[in-house]
Amino acid sequence: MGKHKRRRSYDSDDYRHQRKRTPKCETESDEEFSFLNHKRIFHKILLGYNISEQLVDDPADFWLFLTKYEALLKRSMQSVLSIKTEAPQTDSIIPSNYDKNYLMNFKLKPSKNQMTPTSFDNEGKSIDDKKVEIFLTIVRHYLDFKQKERFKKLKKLRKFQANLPIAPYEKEIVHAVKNESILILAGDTGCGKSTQVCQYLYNAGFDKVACTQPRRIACIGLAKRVSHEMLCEYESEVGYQIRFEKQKTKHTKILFITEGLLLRQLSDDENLTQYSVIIIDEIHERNLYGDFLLGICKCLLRARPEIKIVLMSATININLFSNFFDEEQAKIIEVPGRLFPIKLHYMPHLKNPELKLEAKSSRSERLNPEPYIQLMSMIDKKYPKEEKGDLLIFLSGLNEIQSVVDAAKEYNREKQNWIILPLHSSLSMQDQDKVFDYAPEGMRKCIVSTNISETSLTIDGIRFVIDSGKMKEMTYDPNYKMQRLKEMWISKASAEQRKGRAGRTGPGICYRLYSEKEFYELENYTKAEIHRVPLESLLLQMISMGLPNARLFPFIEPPSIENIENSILALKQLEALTIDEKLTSIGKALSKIPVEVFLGKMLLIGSIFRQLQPTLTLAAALNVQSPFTNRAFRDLECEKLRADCESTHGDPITLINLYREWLLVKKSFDSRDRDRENSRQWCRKRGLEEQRFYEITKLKNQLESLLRECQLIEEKTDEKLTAAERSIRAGEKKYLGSLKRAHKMEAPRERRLLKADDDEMDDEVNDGRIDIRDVEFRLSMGSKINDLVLNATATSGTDLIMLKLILMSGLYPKIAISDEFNYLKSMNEQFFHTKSKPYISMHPMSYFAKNFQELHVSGNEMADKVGIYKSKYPLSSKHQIICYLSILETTKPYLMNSMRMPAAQTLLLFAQEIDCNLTFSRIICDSWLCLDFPMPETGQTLVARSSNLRNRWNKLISMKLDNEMGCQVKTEEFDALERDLANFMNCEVVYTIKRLLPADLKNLYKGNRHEDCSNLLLNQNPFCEDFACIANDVKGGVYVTEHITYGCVDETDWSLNMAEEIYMTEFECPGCNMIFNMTNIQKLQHFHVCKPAKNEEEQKEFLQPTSSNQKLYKCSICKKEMYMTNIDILKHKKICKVIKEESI
Amino acid sequence: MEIGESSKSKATDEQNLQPAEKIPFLCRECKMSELVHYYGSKPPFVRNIEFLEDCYVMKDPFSAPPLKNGKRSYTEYFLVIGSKCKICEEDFCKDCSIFYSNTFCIRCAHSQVSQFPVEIQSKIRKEFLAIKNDR
Ligand SMILES: [Zn+2]
Ligand SMILES: [Zn+2]
Repeated sequence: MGKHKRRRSYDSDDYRHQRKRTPKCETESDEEFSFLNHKRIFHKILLGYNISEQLVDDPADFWLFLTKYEALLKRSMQSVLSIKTEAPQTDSIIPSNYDKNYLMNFKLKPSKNQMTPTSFDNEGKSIDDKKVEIFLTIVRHYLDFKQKERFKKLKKLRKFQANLPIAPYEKEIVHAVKNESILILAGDTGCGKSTQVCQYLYNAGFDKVACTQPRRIACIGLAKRVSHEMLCEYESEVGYQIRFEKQKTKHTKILFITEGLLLRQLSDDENLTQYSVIIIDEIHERNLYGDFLLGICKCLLRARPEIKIVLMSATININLFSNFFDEEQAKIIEVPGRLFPIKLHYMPHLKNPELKLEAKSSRSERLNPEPYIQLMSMIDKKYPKEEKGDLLIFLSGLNEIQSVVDAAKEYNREKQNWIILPLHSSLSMQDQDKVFDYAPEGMRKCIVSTNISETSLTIDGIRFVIDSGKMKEMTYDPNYKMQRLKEMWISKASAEQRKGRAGRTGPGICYRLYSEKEFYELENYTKAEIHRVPLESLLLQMISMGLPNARLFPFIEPPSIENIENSILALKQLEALTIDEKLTSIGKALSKIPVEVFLGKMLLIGSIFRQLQPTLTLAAALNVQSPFTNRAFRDLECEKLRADCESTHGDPITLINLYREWLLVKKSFDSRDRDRENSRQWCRKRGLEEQRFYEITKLKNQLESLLRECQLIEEKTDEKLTAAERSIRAGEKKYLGSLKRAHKMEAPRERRLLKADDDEMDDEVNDGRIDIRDVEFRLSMGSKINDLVLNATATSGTDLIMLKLILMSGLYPKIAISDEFNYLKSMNEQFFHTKSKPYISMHPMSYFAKNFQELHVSGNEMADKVGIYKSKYPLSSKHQIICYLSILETTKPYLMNSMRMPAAQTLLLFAQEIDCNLTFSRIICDSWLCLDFPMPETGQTLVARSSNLRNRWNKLISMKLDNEMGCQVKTEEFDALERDLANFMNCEVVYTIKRLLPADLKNLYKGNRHEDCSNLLLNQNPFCEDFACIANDVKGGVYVTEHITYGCVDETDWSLNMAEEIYMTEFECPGCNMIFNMTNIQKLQHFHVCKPAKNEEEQKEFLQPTSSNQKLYKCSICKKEMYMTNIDILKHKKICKVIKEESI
Repeated sequence: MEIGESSKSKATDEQNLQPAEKIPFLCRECKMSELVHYYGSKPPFVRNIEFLEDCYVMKDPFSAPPLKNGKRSYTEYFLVIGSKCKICEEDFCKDCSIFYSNTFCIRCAHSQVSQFPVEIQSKIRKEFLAIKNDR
């Protein structure tokens, strides 16, 4: 541990020696001789001519040893030159005389060069052989000392293992695994099960051991620890495999793997034949994949009776697991944990103190910190300062932590003996790390934490625990598709975990701020994750693994049928499943991308529509934790600095702008120029957590290689660099490589002594350490950083529109509409509605929370009244809807990560059900948003355009996915579609938009009133040529495409008026220049067939044959002569007839 | 699903070499049991030193292997676990034996304690007592 420090103190010694002693050298007598005065020449001996001659690992450490050695001799009045260099040869096995040289079991055999140094020292004096010999003897003593240290280290390790509570159970465990199929091993944190069981099994001859972990970080940590204990840290017997990272070779015998990844391996190897033992750790956590794995184990045992399964859990709820594996006759071994005694105090009375603080805090919602301060003061009075031991307070959430931290700091202003440290997952890494540091003598740490330190973080040295009894839990409401973060009572199991934290390093005390009665009323266990999350990804994975019916899967606790059905519906909406729950080609592709399905869909569409880079950025940015620290929105300076990255389009775009800006800072920063602002400082100033940007970069690369693997994008083309660029890059790489090696030599971040007045900004100091994340970033990026900047975000208008549409394709139907009265209200009274959940607020961190007017239709965007159309809703072409990533309910429901979209255009492109009246002037989307287009034919044109775009969009996707044409879809087709989409999204059409309630719907549809719809069955479908219209029996009207029902919405007075007006107005077709009176739908049909005659040139073509199957045709009606195919002729006959009829 | 190996801290060629057979070591006294890489006095993976007797040696498990152009010395890349007692010829770990020109297990050393120079007699007696108390 002290290596780093020792070296430093050695350096200062060295400096002193050189200054003070060197002048004395000329007269140096043998008694005064010191090797330190001749360091240069002896250092050469120490190092030899190359690394294979070097005698010690760490020369600086050796010189420190030598300094102490000489000092010791000096104290006993001995000259260093008087020490014995070699013990005399002797014939007896036990030499009778005492010589320290007999104690060393090796001799040094340096090279000849080292023994006879030809050079001279500083003073020109040659060094005689005797001195060299003495020097080498000291080296030998040093090496002997070092080998003893290494042996001690090994012994200590073995002793530690032998003392683990699980150690006495080794034989029983091995016996059980050899003789049974399934073993349930219950033991508390710290009993050693996660590190030891795999070693026991390996030593007993099992060599294909997989051990799953819920968390990636645990896989890495355990692999490291176990390989250390097995003394193969630098070999590959023990490996790990996590998403995007693998340390595994063919020699790997023990593999730590995340649950998710093991599940993915099932789709390639359904019986997991590559493993002989599967250990599932932490099953008591009851997370989604863990639960799923338990069901899989049941299936595996049937398919592969010889497989060995070990389930490991804390000592909670063992019955649940043993009952689940009753049939399989699971063997159960319980290992008692090792805890020091903990005194327990129930203190419910503290919770309702005299309301003296209540008056001060205006918001009654805020937690009253008084009880916590009282307990701190009690600890101060009762326990002398000399008795060490820190305090850990468990609270439910961030605000609660903040209020206790504030009050505790206030209390400490006088006492000055506490170090107050908040701890929660949205803190920066540096701040989180502080909880592991030491408090100075006479002071205590007070760690104010969420339940993050209940199981996932282990802090030693805690003596006092205060448990509020509350936690915040994220639940999922499948009906509203809403996440809910709610404060609730913890479970008994959690309460016990919290208490246990006080007894890890010594006896402890736990204060519960609730009564014993309340404790007994707590639920026994925390609710399993499967009941708290959406199930789309899990279900999709199950279906792709060949488990087609999730409703029949043996879950240990099956999820609610509602959640399953809603998730299946969502998968159908994403077009991942067919109506009969079969995987579509989109679904197949999605199941291979290990991200949430909606992000997967985005990636899929993004890669198809050539917006790969920005989509990757977006997907990665939305998949990592928010980069905003809790300072980001409190500090005005931070907000101001971030302003130029904010996008009026909304939060996802702002996020990728920030990422791009960060890349630019990285690009322009030269690591050799220390004065420039580095990206770390740039982030800090803006209240951003830099780690998140590194994560985005990493995830982005990983997602890209994943898409490449699924063959959704083409192989990378070689970087095209000029020779000069290559050589610059090579030099850069070399320099960065040396930095990376230097970092490896640096000791890992040690536990530091905390400062008494540790305040938030103190780690601004860049302690000269290498920022390894920066180095790694540069090494992996290389010259790509330029492309990265260019491609990180959409640069042109069309690109931005495409990007928004791509995001939308994943997010739909997550859309919300502004409340109709928002324009009258202030910032805090803005409400939004989704189809299933009314009155949702914008999250305060959203761009639209402050800039709420962006979502309003302003006065000058309002259109004038049209005809007899009357509505209380504003008529405008600028209506927006909000698409969002999620709804989160805390104190109230909030829209998270919002982006605005033009309303009508977006709905027509993405809605599943588009219901129209006869003139397309009233359109109801997905049975909740009603659009009125009072200008004649505007609605119709928009619907026609949107359905055309949807057809082309879907065609290109299926072409790409089914690989019908390889990847050879013509770029012109994409170009044209993108151009048309951009025009469509930007087009200006005035309409009103209104949210419908279920009651409204009853009066808006024709329904099955048995009106004759046969006249609506268009024999020539202008929306989709190859779609045969069929009647919609539920709503009335007819389907003209998969999504559009024509004529099912009741007419209104103004729409009837409009129909008449359209028919009465003479219409001159711009294509054929003829004049008709047509209904709106007839016009559409006419346009469809009139197309070829649209412009002069095309018309001319008909006057010349362009292909062999055209023949000359003379129309008897219009008297024209044309070269046409048979089909063209039929079509022509039809229009010509229509034109004739209409013109009469 | 396997995704590119993004962190290769170890040399790839080394990973693919079949690890050499290891030699079991078991201390007669404390039952310490380890697998070592080498038994003898001149381990091929160490340079610049030679052991004065045959011993059970493993490559230093706590540090990265030295590299040709690295900084780590080949001299320290070893960990001696134990060797044979010169008298009873059984295997003992470093803790359960004493080295004085040769390795002697604590029991044998104790039985001959007067033969040793006085400077180390007390050490032998102390260690013998520790072993006896452990039993
Ligand atoms: Zn031993
Ligand atoms: Zn012996």
